[in-house]
Formats: sequence, structure tokens, C-alpha cells
Amino acid sequence: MSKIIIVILTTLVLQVNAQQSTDMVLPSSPAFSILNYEPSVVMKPTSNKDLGADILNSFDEQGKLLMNIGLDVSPYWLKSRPTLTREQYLNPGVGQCFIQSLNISAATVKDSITNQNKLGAGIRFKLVNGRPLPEYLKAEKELNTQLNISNIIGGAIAQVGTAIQTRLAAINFIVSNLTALNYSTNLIEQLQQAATARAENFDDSPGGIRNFLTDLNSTVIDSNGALVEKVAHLNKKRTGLIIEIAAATGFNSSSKKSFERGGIWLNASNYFTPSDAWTITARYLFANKDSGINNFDIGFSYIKELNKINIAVEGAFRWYNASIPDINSNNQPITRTEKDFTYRLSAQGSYRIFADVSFNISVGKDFNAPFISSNGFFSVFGFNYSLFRKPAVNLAPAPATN
Amino acid sequence: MALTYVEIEDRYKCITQTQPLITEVIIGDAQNGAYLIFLDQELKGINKTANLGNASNVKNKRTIISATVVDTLDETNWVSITVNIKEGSNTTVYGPYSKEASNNLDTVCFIIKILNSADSGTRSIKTKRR
Repeated sequence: MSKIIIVILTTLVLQVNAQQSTDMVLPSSPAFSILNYEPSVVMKPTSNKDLGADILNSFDEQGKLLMNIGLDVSPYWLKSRPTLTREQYLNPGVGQCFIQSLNISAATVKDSITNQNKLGAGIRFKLVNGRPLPEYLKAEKELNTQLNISNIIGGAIAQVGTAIQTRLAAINFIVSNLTALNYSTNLIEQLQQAATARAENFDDSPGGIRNFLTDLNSTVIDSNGALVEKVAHLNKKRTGLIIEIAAATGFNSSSKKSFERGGIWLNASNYFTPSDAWTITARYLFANKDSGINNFDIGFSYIKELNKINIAVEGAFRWYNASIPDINSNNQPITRTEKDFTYRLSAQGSYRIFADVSFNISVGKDFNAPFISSNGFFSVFGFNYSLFRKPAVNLAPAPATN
Repeated sequence: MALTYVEIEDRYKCITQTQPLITEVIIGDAQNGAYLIFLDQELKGINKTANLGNASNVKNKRTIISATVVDTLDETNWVSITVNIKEGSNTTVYGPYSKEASNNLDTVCFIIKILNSADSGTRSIKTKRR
């Protein structure tokens, strides 16, 4: 029994290692990343009112900033943008891309060892965001075709009490407009049958006709569910060049020497297809604590996603400069400095056994750390199992509607 | 995936007798949606600008815009539409009519009814003139 437990624990440890990649990817919340801390409470306001309330709630009764909280906000989306069309959003210029992707994060944390308060602030934005997938544009067109069925029903609702005085007149209005819009005979007949059946639950009063039409419309909208999820899912996938930048700084509010560390990330990806991309990432990190460490990393990766197999190769090069207070052989205080170049090369693969279970393997050589001598080679493997995984979006083509 | 309705009634007073009324609908907040434009019961436009004819064609008829918008963006739950009626060099803006969906992937149906009149109107919405 104990051997089984050891094997399980070993597998869990290896699972973590096998899925570690270089930490050169852009952090989703740079302020949290620079503090190496994920706050237990993260406020994500979606309106100016929420933002104001969240800022007020960040202070205690004495007006002191609360610790161990985070703020993650996209300023552009704090209010409605009625003039921003889908087309402008999907194919933005550099300026529009910047403002619609700008994300600001902030975090506070109390260091449990030193009992010092630390603050982090960061931004992240895109300058270029590729272009939508052809599959997305096709799905969007299919969805719009579906939505126009609702629009015909909406047109009928607008006529209730004037041109439409009975449920039959409402059904005839819907059928004649579906025909005018060249929907398939099959779809029209199905909708007509469903409408006729549902109409029996209502009367011919204006309220009854309206309720009948809203009930019918709810059925139509519900039938769009899979297609809506597909559009929302594909909306996040892009092809082409994507350029993203992030920056963050960390402060120690309990110390006069308040600045502690900073970082800048630059990421350029080119998705040839949604499953086939190269990425170049550059990162500059600098720290100004008891020991000063400056890192400049530049790395590349290539990712290929197949049906069940994902393959990634990575290479990253690091130039570092570390200064640490030390004592020499005469017991005198000195600053020991080490400058060097190191690199990381790795290949990672995963094989999906079931929907929620995959086997992962990573081999390669890790960075050498300052003041530590090791060859840095690693070879790790593990299993990944996702509990409570959200069901995959059905990407099967929607039934033809017209 | 809840469904809500936004229904608006308004008026439009024709400015000229000869210029055609061009009705344009803008779906904002970068959301996905589709719309139809009716003149009373007659379908005049499908997801694009519609020419409703001149004052004599539209007098005492209602321009009906039926638009269905789905909140497919993670960034916002706002959905909105704006209706522009262009008559020659004059543009009258209706809206923007905005609604914040309760949840992502919710649907909002906008039904905008605009009564066209050749008489003096009492509409207070700002008219943008170019």
C-alpha cells in the first residue's frame, strides 16, 4: 500500500515538472507575477461604478491599504462602447488594438517571513492581434442566419395589435418572411409546425399573441446554444502575427528603499494555423533587494497541436548579472558578482489518452543558476488529469438553415 | 443563455419631400448580431442599410428595426444598437440603446419602432447635421 502511495505522489510531482515550461510566457496579470504571488481576493471590476467601489473597499477603516488583495481591470471595457463594431474589434489598427487589450493589474501582499508590505503594479497590452479564423467567419455567418429567424419573430411582435390580430396571422407573417429570406423548406415547415403546436397554449388577445411569439422566440434562441458557444470559442482564436507587451514593478512599502524589482516582457507569435505557431519572447527582469540580479532572456518556441499529440520545442538564452553581499577570507564584507550566459533547451510532448487524461514528457537542459554548479539536464514525465473540466465546445457544422 | 427584450418607440419627421430615407443600424460593443428593417410589414433590409423611399412612401408608416445581439465577448456584457436615419445631408441618430446582459452568451432582442410623419415632430433626440 505504501508503495502505491509513493508511486502516486511521485507521479503527481512529476506531473508538475512535466508541465513546467520556461516562465518566459507573458503573465496574464503582471503585478501578481512580479510579486510571485496570486492574491486570494482578486477584484475584476467591469464598470466605473464597480471600480470605484473596489478601490474604496481596498482600504480599512483607518484608511490603510489592505494586504493580500489584487485588482485586474481592462479600462476600455469599463463602459459600453456603442460605436465599436464587430469588424473594428476583429481587425483593429494599432491604436485600437492597444486600448481594447490594455489590462492593468495591481496587488498587495504581506511577506509572512519579514512581515513587510509589498505592492505590485503592471500593465499588459497588444499592438497587433492577428486576424480571425475562416472557421470563425463561417460560424458567425451561420449564427447571423439563425438570429434573423428571431428578428422575423421580433418583427411580428412589433406588429401585434396593428397588422397582426391573431396567432395565425403571426405565423403567416413569420412563414412569409422566412420564405422571402430563402430559408429551407424543411426549416420553414418545422418552425411552422412548432409554432402551430405552441399557439394552442395562448389566445388571440394582443397579450396572448405576444406571449406566444416570445415563447416561440425563446425556443429559437435556445436552439442556437451550441452555435453561440462555437462563435464565442472561435472568437478567441487568431491566426497571423500577434505582438504583446507587459511590464510590472514591485515595491516594498515598509522600507525606504522601496523599489524591489521590475520586469518587461515582449512576445511575438505567428500562428500559421490555430494549431501551428512559433513564438519569440524577450524578458528583462531586474531586482534591487539584498542581492541584485538582472536577467535578460530571449527565447523561441514552436508548437504543433495535432489531434491527440501536442509537440513543443523551446530554446531560451539568458544573460545574467548577480551581485550578492558576502564576506571574504579576511572576514571583510564584499559584494560578490557573477556574470554569465546560460541557456535552456527543451522538447515537450503530450499524448491525450482520454478527454481529461494526457501523458506528458519533457526532456532537455535547464538554465544554470548563479552560484550553483549543476549540469541542469532534466528528463521528466507525468500524467495530467483534469477534474471538472468544462465540456468541449461542439465544433460540428450547424445544420443548414437557408 | 437568457433572452431579454428592449423595446423603443419613437418618431421621425421627414425633412424633405424628395430625398430618400436611408436607415442604417450599427451593432456596437463589438458584439455579434443581426438585424432586419421593416417598413410596416414590408421587409426592406437584411443586415445592411435600407432605402425606405421618400416622404410620400413612408408617411404614417412605421420603420421597424428588429435586431438580435448575442454577448459573445468575455471583455464586456454590454450590447447596444444605434439607428441612423439619413435624409439627404441630414442624419438623425436614435440611440445608442444599450443593455448590459446578465451573463456571457445571453441574447438581447431590440425592437425599435419609429413612426414616420410629414408633420412637425416633437422629438427631442439630437439631430446631427453634416
